[in-house]
Amino acid sequence: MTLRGRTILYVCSAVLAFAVMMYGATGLPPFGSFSGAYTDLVLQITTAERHVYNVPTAINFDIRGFDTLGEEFIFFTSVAGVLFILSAVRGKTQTHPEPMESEPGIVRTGALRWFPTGLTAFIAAMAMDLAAHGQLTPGGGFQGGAVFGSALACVFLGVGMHAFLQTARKDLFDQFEALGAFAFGAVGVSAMWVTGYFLKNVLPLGQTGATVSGGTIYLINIAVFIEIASGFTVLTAVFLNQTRQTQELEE
Amino acid sequence: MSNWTLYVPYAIAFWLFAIGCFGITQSRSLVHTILCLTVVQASTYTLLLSIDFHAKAAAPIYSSNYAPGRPAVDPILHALTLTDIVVGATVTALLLALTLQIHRRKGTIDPQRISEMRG
Repeated sequence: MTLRGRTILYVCSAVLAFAVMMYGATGLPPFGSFSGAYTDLVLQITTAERHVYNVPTAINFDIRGFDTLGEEFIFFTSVAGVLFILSAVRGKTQTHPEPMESEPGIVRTGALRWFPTGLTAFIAAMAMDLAAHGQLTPGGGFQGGAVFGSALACVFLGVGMHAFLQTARKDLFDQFEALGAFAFGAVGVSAMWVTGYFLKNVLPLGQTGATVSGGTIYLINIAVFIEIASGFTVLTAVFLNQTRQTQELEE
Repeated sequence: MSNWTLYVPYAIAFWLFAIGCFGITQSRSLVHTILCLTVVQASTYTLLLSIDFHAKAAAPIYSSNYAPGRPAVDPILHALTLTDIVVGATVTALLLALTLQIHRRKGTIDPQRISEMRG
């Protein structure tokens, strides 16, 4: 189909779809006036029955924990898929032992080199803080993990590719990722072992507002942090490794 | 419909959906296609978050200052959106890896010049 034909087809179907969607939107509650019975119930019971302040965290890791287990495995499978697709060409090129920063033409001054390296520590600490207080303040395993992914990328910015690939060791972080995914499932299965219900919150809930509280919510939160953080690190490492291989192919 | 401005957030979500789809139909590069797909994805976040907004409510995170059980916006859609953003980023990475592989095999990432993607 030509570009012109596609544009005409798009405009016709888009006008129709937009009209149908806006008609459907008139059946939604007007902006700012939503209220559902389930919402009210969840807001009432979460702190009382789970001893956590952050309601989305409680929903993710306890009340609808089974959904999150599914999301986790989408994440796990995607990372595995990226590794699988990109490893298909690894055999064709051998990796260069020479570090990138010895390449002539790339000169980093002191500030350019040490500012990102210092940021690495700062971002990593912030990521762990976000994850560790996921049940009290905004944050949690997912957010902390995504932030941590950018921490090690700062090593690449500051020092260079070779140092980055040695810090973000793919084999090591791969195992951490699998460990995180396993821990989530293991918490669920051991709860089933004890009580007969998958992912039931069996541990003592602790005091509301304490750093460690919420029972299994806290454990799953940490497991998710480990998985997401290592997953993003592996992704960054694999893609940067690809740019290096591509450069070598073109030479 | 008493006040049409109360439906603007939904219209924005549908607009993001439509403009993302437009980008996909016009795309001459698979990287551009993937970016358009993330715009389409953003429309779902906009729709979810504009449905659950409540005018006289706080964020669903309590503290000792804001006692548990007081009005807050729907936490379920927030939980859905936050997991979806993280998982969506990884799926984008998977698509980019596929693009890299297509470039190696075919020497181009223009969907109109790849015979398998011609439609």
